[in-house]
Amino acid sequence: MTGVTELTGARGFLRDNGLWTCFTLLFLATLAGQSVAGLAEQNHQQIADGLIPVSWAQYVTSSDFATDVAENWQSEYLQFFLYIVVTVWLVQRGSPESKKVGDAGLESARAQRIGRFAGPDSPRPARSSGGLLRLYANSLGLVMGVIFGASWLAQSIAGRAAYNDQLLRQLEDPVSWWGYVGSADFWNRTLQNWQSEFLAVASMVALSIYLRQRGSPESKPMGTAHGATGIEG
Amino acid sequence: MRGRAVVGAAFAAVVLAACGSARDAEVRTAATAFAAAVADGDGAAACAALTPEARRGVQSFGRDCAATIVQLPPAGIVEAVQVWGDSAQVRFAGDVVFLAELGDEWRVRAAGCRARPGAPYECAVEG
Repeated sequence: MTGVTELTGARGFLRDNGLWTCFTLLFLATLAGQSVAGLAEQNHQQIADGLIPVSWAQYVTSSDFATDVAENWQSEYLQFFLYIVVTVWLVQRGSPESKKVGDAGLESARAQRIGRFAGPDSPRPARSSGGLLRLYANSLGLVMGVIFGASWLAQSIAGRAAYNDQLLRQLEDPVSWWGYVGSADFWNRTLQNWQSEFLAVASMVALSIYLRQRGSPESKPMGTAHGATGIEG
Repeated sequence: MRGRAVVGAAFAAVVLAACGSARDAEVRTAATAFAAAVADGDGAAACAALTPEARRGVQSFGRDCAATIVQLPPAGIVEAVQVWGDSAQVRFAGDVVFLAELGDEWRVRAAGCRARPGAPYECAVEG
């Protein structure tokens, strides 16, 4: 018995899925806010260029909006993809984000509860062997990596369309897709997002060694020593 | 389910391609009508095809739009059309013309354009 009262219906769902629900709602609200603010900026530019302002529906289906959305998505998924994969091999002494210093690597079958060490409640692929097991062993990083790649590709396609519109307004020739992915615009948009993600991860890894957030699983318990590694609150 | 998704994706691709080619055709029609008006010496029709800013540009220093615009070089046949957002470029054999979408019609915003390496086109008509 866990001591947690069983709830049914919507209240039970929200209690069990509060984290996912909260961030999904925040995502939708901020995406809507971005569309409104972006529309205002776009129409300011339209008027300055002697063009007719666009509607909200036209803006949210435009290459400008798609580029702005995709360039942020790709960097977020890159951050999580790298973090998931790199933390297999690299550790940080004292960080709750890291495994214990001696545990770097793929870990044993026993520790991972796979094959003959799998329990009755283990996912079916963890009880299997061969290709299915290998695929499942990398499924989280693989999916995050694929979403990153797809978002980055979408950024390049939508970004090229928006960039070419801008070039034509400046009486310049449009560029090919290869021309765009080698352009300063593409790499400026890409790298300005990447640097912020890497800074945030490095900060989180370092600050969580010495600072605490009581009750958060992202922090060590308050009384845990700074040198304790791989302990979450 | 997978079959439906494939059909849906194919349908979306066809719709997008059709929209793209329809916009290309609109731009081509607007640009060739402008070039034909210039070639025929119909300055009034050519000026009516310009954006308001381009027309103001032609009329600067007190020049008459209709009399000035017919001095543009002959454009010739269309070689390429590119449409991106509400901007477009039409390459003729003898000219490069830039257009802008104003509401539901395409207007010429620059014509008589000459390429300059590493810089925007230099255009006789620009706005």
